[in-house]
Amino acid sequence: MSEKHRIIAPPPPVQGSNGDDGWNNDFPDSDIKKHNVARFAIMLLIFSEMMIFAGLISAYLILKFNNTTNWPSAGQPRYPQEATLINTIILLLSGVLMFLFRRSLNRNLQFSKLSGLLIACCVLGIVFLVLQGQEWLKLISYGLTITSSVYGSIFYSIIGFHAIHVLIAVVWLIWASRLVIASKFSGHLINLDICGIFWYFVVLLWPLLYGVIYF
Amino acid sequence: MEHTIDEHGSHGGFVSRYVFSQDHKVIGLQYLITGLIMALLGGIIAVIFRSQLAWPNREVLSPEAYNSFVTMHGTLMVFWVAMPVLIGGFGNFCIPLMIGARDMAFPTLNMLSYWTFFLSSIVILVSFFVPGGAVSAGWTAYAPLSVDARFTGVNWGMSLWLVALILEFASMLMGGVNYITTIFNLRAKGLTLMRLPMLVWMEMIAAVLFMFSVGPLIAGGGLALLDKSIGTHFFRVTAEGQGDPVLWQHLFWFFGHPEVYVVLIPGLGIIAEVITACGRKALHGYKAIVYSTIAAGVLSFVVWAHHMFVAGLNPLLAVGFSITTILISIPFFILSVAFGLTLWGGSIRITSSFLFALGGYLIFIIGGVTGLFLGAQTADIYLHDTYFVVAHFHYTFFSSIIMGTIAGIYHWFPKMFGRKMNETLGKVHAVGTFIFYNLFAFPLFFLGLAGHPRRYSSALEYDFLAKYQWIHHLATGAAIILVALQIIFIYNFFKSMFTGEKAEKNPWRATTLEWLAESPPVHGNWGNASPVVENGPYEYSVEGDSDDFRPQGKLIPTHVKH
Amino acid sequence: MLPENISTFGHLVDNLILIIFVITLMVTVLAFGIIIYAVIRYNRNSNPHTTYKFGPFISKIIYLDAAMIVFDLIIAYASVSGWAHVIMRSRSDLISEHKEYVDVRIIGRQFFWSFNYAGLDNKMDTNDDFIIANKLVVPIDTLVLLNLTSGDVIHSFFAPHLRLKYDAIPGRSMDVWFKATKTGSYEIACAELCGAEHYRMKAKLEIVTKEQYKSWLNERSGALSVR
Repeated sequence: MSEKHRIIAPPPPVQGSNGDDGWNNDFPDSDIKKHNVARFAIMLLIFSEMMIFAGLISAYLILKFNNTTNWPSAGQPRYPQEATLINTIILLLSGVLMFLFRRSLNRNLQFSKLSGLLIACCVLGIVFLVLQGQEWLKLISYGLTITSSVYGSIFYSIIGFHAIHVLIAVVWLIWASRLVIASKFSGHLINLDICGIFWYFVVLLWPLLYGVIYF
Repeated sequence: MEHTIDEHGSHGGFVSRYVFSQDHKVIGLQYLITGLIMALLGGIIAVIFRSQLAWPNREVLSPEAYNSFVTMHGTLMVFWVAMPVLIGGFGNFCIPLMIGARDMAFPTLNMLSYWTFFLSSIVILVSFFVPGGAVSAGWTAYAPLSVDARFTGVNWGMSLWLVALILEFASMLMGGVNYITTIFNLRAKGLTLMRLPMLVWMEMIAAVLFMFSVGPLIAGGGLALLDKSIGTHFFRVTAEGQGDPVLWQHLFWFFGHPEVYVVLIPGLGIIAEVITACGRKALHGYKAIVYSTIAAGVLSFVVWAHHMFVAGLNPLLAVGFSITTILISIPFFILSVAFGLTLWGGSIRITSSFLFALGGYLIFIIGGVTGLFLGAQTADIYLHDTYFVVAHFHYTFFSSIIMGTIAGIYHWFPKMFGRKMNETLGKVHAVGTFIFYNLFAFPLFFLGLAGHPRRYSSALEYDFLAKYQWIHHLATGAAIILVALQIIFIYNFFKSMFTGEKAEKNPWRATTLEWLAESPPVHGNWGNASPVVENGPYEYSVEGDSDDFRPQGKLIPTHVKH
Repeated sequence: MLPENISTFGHLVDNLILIIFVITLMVTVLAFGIIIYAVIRYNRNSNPHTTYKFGPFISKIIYLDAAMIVFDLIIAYASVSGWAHVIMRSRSDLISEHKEYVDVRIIGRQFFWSFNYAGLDNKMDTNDDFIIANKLVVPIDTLVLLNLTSGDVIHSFFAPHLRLKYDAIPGRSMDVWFKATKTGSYEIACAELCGAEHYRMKAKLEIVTKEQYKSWLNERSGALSVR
């Protein structure tokens, strides 16, 4: 957005208007306001994403309930509970790093330290994806594919959908850490912030999926 | 987030102003016009398959084609007419103007939303012409009929249908984020929530309902697409796996019921705007309307299984769902009474928009009360999936999607194009539409009572139905005239766009903020001024005032730096 | 407009529809009357000026709403009691209440109904079972237990004269029942879109006297045992 469009000056005080909770619309470009609007929007988006996952999880529960006697489906391997525990810890750890990053961002610590935290967070995200991929390859070699049974279909769909979210978030994080390394983030605080919120969503969703799906 | 405010009204060439525009008004009109074209298409499709119903021996359509046409009629009307016109069109056009904003919170996202919608429209239209034809499993696309090409012979049609639907939802999600964010964050000074015009409330509630309910259907659509394309086992019952066909119904209707309110309540919002402006009277029970609409919205999340009373739902659960469904009559009853009391004691100007609003209101009452028959689960054993259901939802949908929309178009046309529509043609259109709509839809209630199941391409197969063939003749005749009547509207619309009487800023002498702007409003809506709100949205005929309306706010000049 | 009722519970459905019809007719006529009167009485010509005054909304709505709640309660009560009678009774309860019953397993397929009879011994899955397509023959005044399922897509067993409709869903089996009160030949339809020929997926419902049923059953089972 170019400077040319930031044109509105504060209006004169208005007489006689009642106390209100409405925004003063003549500061559409003030940073604080933009920040709040962006946060509001990402929260809305996350909420509707959560409803998609709610739909998937209830589909999982219903299918499991319908097939209680045949779960996992005959001849199919169990979901890898132990291996995924390591993965869960890795992802949660990256969430902790994100927390530390955001805290130091607020305290305005040195850039070098900041970029280290963010890069570590990215790396853990990538490790999560790689380990997940390995697990999938192993499962496929044991005969659990997306078409082999209900058990496989729902597993790959839900976990895969989450993995897509992790992938998007990781790409976003890489882009963000590039900014931080170049120390350019002052103009992109909003983006860094909502990227972090999205990462929280992806990380915090995982233990729920792990608990519900794998056990 | 970008704010392209340009006090000179224009920047860029034709393409960036009218095609890939980020201006909420242009996007609103794009949505509106795309939706109306789809409505015309849906209407023509309806006339064709109704001809098949009236004269089954002529074989107007093969049974396969009949199912495709019925399915596409429902799909187009709900997802490609109601959503874009009421949410995309009026939401985009009216919300920023009514709350005194210069544009939506995210103009680029808004543009992206429209073009995603446009893409989805192309996909759904293309699905008519792929091998196997368009989807023919009903607009509810019940599995396993829909997810296996063996059952209907439709392969590509169904995949494209799902893709188009998911694209459309993505588009509406972008829109929803935008509307809610805009309404919460960009209101003019002094515009508290309880001073919002009713349409803005209704759009907001609709957007919230949509965003919270659509997730499960997006999930379900994705799963169905996997079932359809690579052969997973979610909704199909095969040797390898026991999927659950009823799961699709749950996912569909969890979205489906809030969805019908998503497309209903913006229409009621338009009716509220029109009857206050034409009745010169404040909306009676403003807060009651707001709260009861919210209550109806919340309740709409716990009624979905009333579509599945006879689909093997646990009978005890059915009792719960039936009671919540019957309960939902109460908020809508309050709302109807409030509208009635608003008319009572007014000084009503009978304009075309008022006639449409009134017609919509009356039709909505019939649609509402007939819902009780279907919500009572014991009556639903008999009435489920008969023409009674068809008549009921046509009454509810038509009230909002057609009557509400057209009332809104007559009402805001001066604001959209700076000219008025022809009132005489408008009144003929209104009365004709109301009469022929009722002639078409009301007899369907009787067909339903006679036990006529829906989606039959011929009733002559059954002795107990064949004697009611005259009702099909009547309904088809009325439907043909109803669609033909819309030629008046199309003529009036385009004629008035170019040669209509020039409209001043506030032709209806209405109170809400959009009437402070130029007709049509400039880019950025308010030029070198910005609105400040001083009172409620419907202060008509205030005692002691010289004029019979008190605008909600006024424009205060702002200093603009260059 | 409703077709003739021939089942023991049909009147529950019919009465409920009648109750709701009376209530909604009252409400609708009243509402239409008031609205149309308001538009005529209070249009610009007959009422050129109006004023901003209006009393609190709650005082006007409260009695109307109370009335609506009473109506809702009546409807809910009638509906739930009907439901309890028609749908909520389990198969074992019904069997213990009735000495004699007819057991029929119904499988919907694109595009026909197959009726699987238990035969002379009245036990399913024995040698004397037999299947007939598109014709359900049952005795009058006898409990008929239906077990619905589907071989391909969702169908819906709809016998308008019995006021009975229930879905037949692949992978699930569902129990419903009825007791006919009148002999004669009626129609059964499919009420859930199931493909191109959904509109003519019909079957005959023949309700016969107990004696006729017995001889029909003998004839059928006999034909089977000869083979």
